[in-house]
Amino acid sequence: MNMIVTLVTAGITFGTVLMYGTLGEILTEKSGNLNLGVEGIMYMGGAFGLAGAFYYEKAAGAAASGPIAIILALLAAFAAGAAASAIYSFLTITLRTNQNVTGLALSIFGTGVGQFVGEFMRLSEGGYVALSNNLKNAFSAAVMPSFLQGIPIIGPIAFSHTIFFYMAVVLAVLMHLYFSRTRSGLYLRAVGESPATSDAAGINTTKYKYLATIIGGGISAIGGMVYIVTTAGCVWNHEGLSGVGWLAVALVIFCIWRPLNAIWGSIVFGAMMIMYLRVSIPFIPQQLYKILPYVVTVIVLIFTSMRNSRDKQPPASLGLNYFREER
Amino acid sequence: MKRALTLLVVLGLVCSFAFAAGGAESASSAADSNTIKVGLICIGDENDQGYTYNFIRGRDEATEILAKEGINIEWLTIYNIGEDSSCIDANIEAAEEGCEIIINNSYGFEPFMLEVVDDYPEIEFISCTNCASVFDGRDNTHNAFANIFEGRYIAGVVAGMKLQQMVDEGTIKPEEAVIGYVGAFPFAEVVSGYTSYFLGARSVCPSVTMKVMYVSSWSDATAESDAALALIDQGCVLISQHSDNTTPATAAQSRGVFHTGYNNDMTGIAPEASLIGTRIDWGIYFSEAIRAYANGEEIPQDWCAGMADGAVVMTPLNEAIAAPGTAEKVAEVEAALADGSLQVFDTSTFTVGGEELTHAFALDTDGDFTPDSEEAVYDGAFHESVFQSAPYFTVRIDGITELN
Amino acid sequence: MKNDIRTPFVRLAKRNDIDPKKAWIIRVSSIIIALILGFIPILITGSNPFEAYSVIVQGSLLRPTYFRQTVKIAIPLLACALAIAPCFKMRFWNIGAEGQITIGAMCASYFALYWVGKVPHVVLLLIMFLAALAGGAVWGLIPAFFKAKWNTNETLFTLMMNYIAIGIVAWLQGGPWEGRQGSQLIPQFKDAARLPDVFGVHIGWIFSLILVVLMYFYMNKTKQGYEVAVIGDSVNTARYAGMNVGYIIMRTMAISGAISGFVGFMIVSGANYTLYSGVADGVGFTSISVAWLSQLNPFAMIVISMLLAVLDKGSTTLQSRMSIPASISDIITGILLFAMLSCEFFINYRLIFRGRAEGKEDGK
Repeated sequence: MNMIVTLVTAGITFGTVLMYGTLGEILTEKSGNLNLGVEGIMYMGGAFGLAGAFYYEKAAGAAASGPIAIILALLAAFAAGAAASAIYSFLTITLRTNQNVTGLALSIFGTGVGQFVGEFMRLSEGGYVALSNNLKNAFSAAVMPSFLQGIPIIGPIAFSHTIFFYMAVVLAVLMHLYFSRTRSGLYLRAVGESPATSDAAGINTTKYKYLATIIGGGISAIGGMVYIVTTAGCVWNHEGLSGVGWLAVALVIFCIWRPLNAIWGSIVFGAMMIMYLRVSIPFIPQQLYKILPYVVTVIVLIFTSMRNSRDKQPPASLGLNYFREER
Repeated sequence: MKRALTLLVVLGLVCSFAFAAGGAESASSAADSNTIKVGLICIGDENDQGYTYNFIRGRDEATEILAKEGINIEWLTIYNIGEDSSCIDANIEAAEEGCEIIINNSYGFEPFMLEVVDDYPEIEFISCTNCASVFDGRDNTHNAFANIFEGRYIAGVVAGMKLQQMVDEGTIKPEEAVIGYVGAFPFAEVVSGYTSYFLGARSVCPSVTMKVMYVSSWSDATAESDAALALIDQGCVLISQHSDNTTPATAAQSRGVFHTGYNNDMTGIAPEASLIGTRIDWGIYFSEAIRAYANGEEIPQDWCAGMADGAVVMTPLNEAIAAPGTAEKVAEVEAALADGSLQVFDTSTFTVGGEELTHAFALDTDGDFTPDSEEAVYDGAFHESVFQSAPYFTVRIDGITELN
Repeated sequence: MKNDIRTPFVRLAKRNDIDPKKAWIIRVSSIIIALILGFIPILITGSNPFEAYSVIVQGSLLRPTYFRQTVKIAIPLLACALAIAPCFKMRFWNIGAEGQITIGAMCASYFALYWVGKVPHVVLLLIMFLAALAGGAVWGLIPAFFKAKWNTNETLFTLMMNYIAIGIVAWLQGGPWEGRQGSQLIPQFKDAARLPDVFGVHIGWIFSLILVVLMYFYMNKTKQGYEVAVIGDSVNTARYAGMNVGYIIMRTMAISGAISGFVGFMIVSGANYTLYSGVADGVGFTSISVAWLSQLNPFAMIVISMLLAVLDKGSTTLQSRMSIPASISDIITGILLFAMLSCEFFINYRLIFRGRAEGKEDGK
């Protein structure tokens, strides 16, 4: 029992990172855009988020306050991700480039920008770039009251986490409500399912695609920032984020494009990625545990396509561009 | 159409101008004979505040030492190279850019470095922490390491005193004195490191035991943090590490357990957790090797030095949280190590499968990855880093559990 | 006036037949514009962009060793782009080349490690070659099978297969194939398992160039190539024409996977001399851009892959000489890709600005 509690608790730490990446990508994909640049977007979010907090602290000195640093890091990461996605949106929506290729280009570009910013900060500071313990504690502090954290089993699982986890959960719920309860959410899903029909119905498909992709990119980027300021110890790590974005793309499938599934799905993925340190399954080498998330994703993908049930599919127009004059 | 063509021509001109501007090679090779160009190929960068950071400090220290002697060094530092073919490319790059000595800072670089050395016989290649130069029959390959196990032993003593203090004060029961050790790989350098650390701790805290968890990477901030947390979850009350980052220290601090560091003083990162650290002072070796080269002497083929030579140093003790009397004890152990009255791997202090260790080979001469020559156990101790600089202690002793 | 309000500022018109010369002018301009945009990050570091570009050229082309290094980078990009071309022609979005390379490399490595010394040099290389082809083909067939049978989304499936392949090699590296215990390194291959060099670069460059010609013929002159093109245009047309679409998808993916596997063989046996989990090193992804930017034209791929290789290699020298982080190559590559992707829009469409007479834009 204790082992499961610690596994879940630890899974949430990494799962939080994934949850942002995934929620952002779900929003993007709901509009019919398959943005494969999440890897690059998260790199940029990590680098710019860290830069935001770092330069704020440099300017404010010892007076730097934790909450302001958190807000600035969030804003910087979001802006970086939104900017990257804006490039993607402009290319795929307005200039009608191939989504797969553009996404891959963005992942190359974003990884480059993230590493460049991280390296450049180090070079211009002439040494390592790290936040003070004060801010580090602010980022990794458990925000729930201590009596809640003290409850056995439920305490550590539900109440021992950073602010970022609870924000992600709230975001997931809000996104779920948006898709299922609001008119605008319904329109967005319609755009993703069939842009031609929505266009004919008078929905501004271009606007929906742009907004969903840009905001989605911003949310994904926050995941990169959360990774740097929580699990990576507030220092830039050259290869640290590699693969995280692709894992988030996998998680979108695992969640079958539903925000609420992302909450538990990300914890499952997070736990699978660190399981090799904590659990041993007979006959399966521990190094192979790390491919479990991808294996289960493939299985989900196969089963959803075999069952072919309408509500478990990717948005119908996913990956396809919409050309009004060709409809 | 015409406009497009004009634009194209202009752009083309701009570009050709750009390339012409730098037509002359701007690679600087050492102009005056007193300047030596040295390449340093690193697995990470200063941001790890650990392994590579420690090398950079060594680099700067050596520059300073040699500048006083009139030897100037121009460094070409290449960061964030993987233990893969990018290391081949980095070595070629450093060689082509005019480096006379090329230092590879990670163990796994050596096989890739060896792919390049024959193409540049006039350049000296150094692989830190590895061991191929003995048998490869080449003149321009070298190895270097320091007796870091001495430093780890002392760090272990500091940890052990803290644990014993906790036992004496009743904070933990004697059997709860468990050390968690974040290791990179189940590999001689790591095994040697944690064993010496454990023996140091047990010399002052008899009830101590240790759990080791491997993260399968020299430098993976997340995995190191996860491993430290997993160890703490399994009841470890003190964390130490053989990995490149500071995240184990951060993890220890966040869970309120103690920590000792490697490569760097981590008390700044975890003031309430980190007791002490130990590191290799690479400046000693770098200055020695480069001085030898500058004077036209041979760079030692396999260099190894210890605490007595200043090649292994302890970082400042965190007096605020260390057990009382630690500083005195550390000084006493240092002196005993220096005069040889204390052997780290004294075979009377540990058992293997319940029995005393009487035999272990040091060197692998035939390349099958199992040691087959040079008896390391004699005079009542296992003699580490005597036959080669790279550690070869791979014995698993009682009291230490490997979790994965 | 009234008409003006109803007409948007810019309108689009599809152009059907653009002068090929003009199309290439647009393409080349886009490359130049991208390179100029690349000034921005260089200026941020406080360096002179002209000097930086000249260092990139010096560090990639102007010295024999650097030129060989550049070619070494270009070989797998080129060969892998060739592998991807038929899939993309078919509108089968295979982004799993990374995994197919890894599996091909793994299969070749098995024989390199355990059969070396048992069979003659050339025979060993041949076995490694065939093993790599088979491994890559199987890895490509798996998603193709599910695509053919249940229309499973191939983009996501092939993407997942990459990480499964990488994970398997990571396990071999630290497990059964590990050299010195605990080192997580597979031993370097013996000489008998290495590809010979021709003019200082492994012989793979000759094979890749031959492959360019073969792929050109396959795609343009054979029945199979024609089938691929028809499916790419319209699956329904292909069905009406009586083609077995599922079979063709699987066949094409098997060919593509096999070529990717061959790339893996060239990398382990010609460049790295050992296997590790990052053996594909992004080639599978970057080569997609190479293929797409070349309009799936095998000969254009030679140019594009060299261009990206020049940036890649040159930027490491840039880092050595001017302390500009080498990741700048990814940034410039990214900008280059964006620009070249965008320029197709200007080739395919004509912008008509409000108030301008139609036809004027054509420059007639």
